[in-house]
Amino acid sequence: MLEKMINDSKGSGQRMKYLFSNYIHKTEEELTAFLDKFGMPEFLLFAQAEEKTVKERWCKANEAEEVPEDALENIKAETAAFNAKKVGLTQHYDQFGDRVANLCVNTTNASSVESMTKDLNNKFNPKVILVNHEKSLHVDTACANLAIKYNMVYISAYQVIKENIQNKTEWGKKLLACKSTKGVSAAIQGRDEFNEAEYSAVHFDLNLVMQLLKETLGQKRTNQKFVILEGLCNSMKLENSDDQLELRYMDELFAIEAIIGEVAAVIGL
Amino acid sequence: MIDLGESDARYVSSSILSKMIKEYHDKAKDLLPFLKKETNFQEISNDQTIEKTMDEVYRHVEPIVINVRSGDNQETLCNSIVTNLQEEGFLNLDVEQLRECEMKRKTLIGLEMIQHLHRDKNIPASMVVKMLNKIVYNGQESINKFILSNFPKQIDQVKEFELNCSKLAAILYPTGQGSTVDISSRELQNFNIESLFQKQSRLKTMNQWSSQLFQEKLGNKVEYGVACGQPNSGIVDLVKLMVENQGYTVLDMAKCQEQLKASMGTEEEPFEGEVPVANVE
Repeated sequence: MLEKMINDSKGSGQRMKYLFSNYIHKTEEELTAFLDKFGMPEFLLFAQAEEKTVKERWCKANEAEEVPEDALENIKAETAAFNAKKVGLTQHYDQFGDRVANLCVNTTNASSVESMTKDLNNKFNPKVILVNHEKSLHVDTACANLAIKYNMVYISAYQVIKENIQNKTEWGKKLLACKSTKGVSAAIQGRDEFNEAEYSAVHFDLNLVMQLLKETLGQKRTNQKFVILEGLCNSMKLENSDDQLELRYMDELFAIEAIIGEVAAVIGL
Repeated sequence: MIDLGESDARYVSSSILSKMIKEYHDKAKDLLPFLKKETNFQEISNDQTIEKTMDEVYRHVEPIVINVRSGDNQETLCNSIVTNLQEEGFLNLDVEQLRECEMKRKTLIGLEMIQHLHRDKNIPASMVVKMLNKIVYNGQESINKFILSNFPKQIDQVKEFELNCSKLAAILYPTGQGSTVDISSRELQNFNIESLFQKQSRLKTMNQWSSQLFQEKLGNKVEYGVACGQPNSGIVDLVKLMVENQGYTVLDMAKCQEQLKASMGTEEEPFEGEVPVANVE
């Protein structure tokens, strides 16, 4: 059933990512023998919580004051079974080294969904290197070459927007529908081989641009831990001061961190 | 979906279209199983934009052409990759050797090349592409995977090849074992084939040969992870967040087993036994 489902989606050209959970195999060997049909996994994700927390959650779920003896025994047995599974899986995939990430999320101190989301994003999202530059400096080639050298993904916001609009993709149509052309300063209109003045992110809905960049990144990224992002946080290039205030640096920066990944560095050229 | 107005010559009214679809399904009922069994039958979903549908069609019918470059001074690894790819059924097209052969055999294209060499010392990319075109689209279904060697060397040649022959699926770029790729021999500002392909995510670095790694680099990989946790450990929330924030599709094996169990019985007579793991798999 599962194998057929995965194989059917292979030919669709859509990039699918699966998360196997609640496995029903009696041993880890049986599970890994099945999983090996799909190559090796990207990661093993273990949710771990201290016994005290597990008990508290049990009481909350069962509306009880304290855990009765038989349920306590059950919790202990489940903990032991989980630890055995963890060891079994980790040992099997240890042979592949860094290619299978071993991720452990301790949910004991996860006070909210937000904190758990942040923890997960830190583990899965790339770190962003934001490149902001004077228009007279052409950084496109240098960024592409640096991306080769340090195994990073390079994304230019206005080039992605331009590509989607010109190719009339669904994203392109959505972008055009929300486009509100703003005046850009004369400095940006000089040598502009990628039509930045026309396709700059400043003309489009910020959230939509971020979602598009996130999807583009998802398609391009394989094992890269960093992404060079160019063409954002440049509202100062807007002609009108009201437009500049409407689209502030910090709003863009927060949106990048919330949707794409933590900004590890900003390069100003 | 293509929107055709009533004035368009290809316009078909909805009732006629329904009849045509019904006729297709009636006739295909017997034909499809035969085609699936006897031919390289591929099913393509057209419940998407025409561009995506055509992309899917091209993926099935277009040959795979890969360029292996010597990369980060890794001649040995480069040769090893070419040898291993040949073992995987790729045909190595060494353009310099092919050119010599064509001229030696005095084929039509060979004679054209000889004539051109009298006037100019370089053979234009268009002539090389013309020669490659005949090989790449040779008409033999089994020969559809190629390695291009010694060509293209410049961006113009890439453009000529992709315009008049086939798209390059990827450039394989052998690198050393270090964490960085040595590009010091080239200026950082030098826009070349590697930079172009990097921008298009078609430059694939490899620091060792492995068939599995090669398939992964070409995107022929099932991306998956395994989530595990005891009850009340927060695993349910974690899995939910992976779906919402990271775009994963959950394959809950226990739920699949339950679904299968439900489908194996009826409301009056539910299935009592245990569904074998193999069925879920």
